[in-house]
Amino acid sequence: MNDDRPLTCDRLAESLDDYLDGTADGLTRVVLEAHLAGCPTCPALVADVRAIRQAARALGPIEPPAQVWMRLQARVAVEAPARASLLDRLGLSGRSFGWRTLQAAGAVAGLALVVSSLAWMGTRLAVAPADVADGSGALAEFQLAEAEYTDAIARLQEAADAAGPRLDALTNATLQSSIDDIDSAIGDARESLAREPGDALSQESLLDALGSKVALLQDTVSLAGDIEPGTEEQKP
Amino acid sequence: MRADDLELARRCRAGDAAAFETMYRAHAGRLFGLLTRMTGSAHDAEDLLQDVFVQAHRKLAGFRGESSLGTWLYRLAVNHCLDHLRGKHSRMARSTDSLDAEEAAEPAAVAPALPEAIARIDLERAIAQLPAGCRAAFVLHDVEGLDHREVGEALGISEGTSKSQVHKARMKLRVLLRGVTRGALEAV
Repeated sequence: MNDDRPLTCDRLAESLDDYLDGTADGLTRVVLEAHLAGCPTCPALVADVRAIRQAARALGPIEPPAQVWMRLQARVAVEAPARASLLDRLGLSGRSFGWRTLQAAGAVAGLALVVSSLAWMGTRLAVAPADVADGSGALAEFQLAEAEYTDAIARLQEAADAAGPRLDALTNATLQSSIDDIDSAIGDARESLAREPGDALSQESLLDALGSKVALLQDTVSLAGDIEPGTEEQKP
Repeated sequence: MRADDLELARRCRAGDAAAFETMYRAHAGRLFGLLTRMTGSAHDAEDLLQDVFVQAHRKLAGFRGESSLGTWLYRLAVNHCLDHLRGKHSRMARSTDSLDAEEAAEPAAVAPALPEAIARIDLERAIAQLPAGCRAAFVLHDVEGLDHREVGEALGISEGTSKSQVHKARMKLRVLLRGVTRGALEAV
């Protein structure tokens, strides 16, 4: 505010933070207080802004609903071993995550197919030159991954159907809406593949959509408390 | 503190589920508050909070302890939230622009001042009603305590624009909160 312009109500806001913080320079402070002494409206503005700032600064954390942690656990449970497996297949981890190891670690139902999916990805990354020519190796791996996804979805769907009545109507409606969206994406990808069975982009899209469905069905089951994340044990 | 953070991050990277939960419990409340106020929607904030921790899980290998784990997560959350708001804004540009263009009526000169102590719930509701642009600037400045230069950097706007957005938010809040106060008084 160190210029020659007169302080108007509109310009008061420019220096208000510095004034309220006590960091305005002496001249600004004098000019501003002189304006406040003679202005019919600005004192109320300053008082209100002071009250809003104080109330805003006092706003604390908001604890998220419990289901956020449950959903997060389910997402990480699927993702973490899958990433470890991918690193392993790319030779970056130095550890072996075979199917039996994962099973022994208590992986949830969808995990096996994630590994299969990554096997398919690994095949695409490291496919032998002869297979590249006819695409047979990658296609076979893709079909295997798709079959395992489909099988896991069927098993999870049964558990989710049983869990449904334990969830409230809004949650069920939200989950169903998401399932519908995913099913639509699955349908689109399958249509594309019917036209071009070897199209890598459509294969990826289909596996992504199937993976999303697995994750959502796992969320559904976890939400209902049917299974503890990371185990297959049924609650009594 | 940094040594504790590094150890917690190391355990999370090693797949220690208890460590990941410890990290979540320690920081989720602050981040959920930030995300709820920035988006004006608890529902959106729930999704974003999950995304932030999934991202954190993926990116913990890059955490070197140069800042605290809380600050690192906070940056992840702010950046992810701003990406979300930009995407939402571009999808709903027309309606958002009209909201932003809609100026709040200035309160009458003789209107009673706000109470010195504004109820938290009233303020939370009023913040949720702000247009997205000025709400983000207000939350980062007045709630989170960033200065206008930092707000400008975060939002990709100038320091002067940050000041004007925060001022605009306060003026709208003033109107909204006076409405609440009048309603409360009339109800007595």
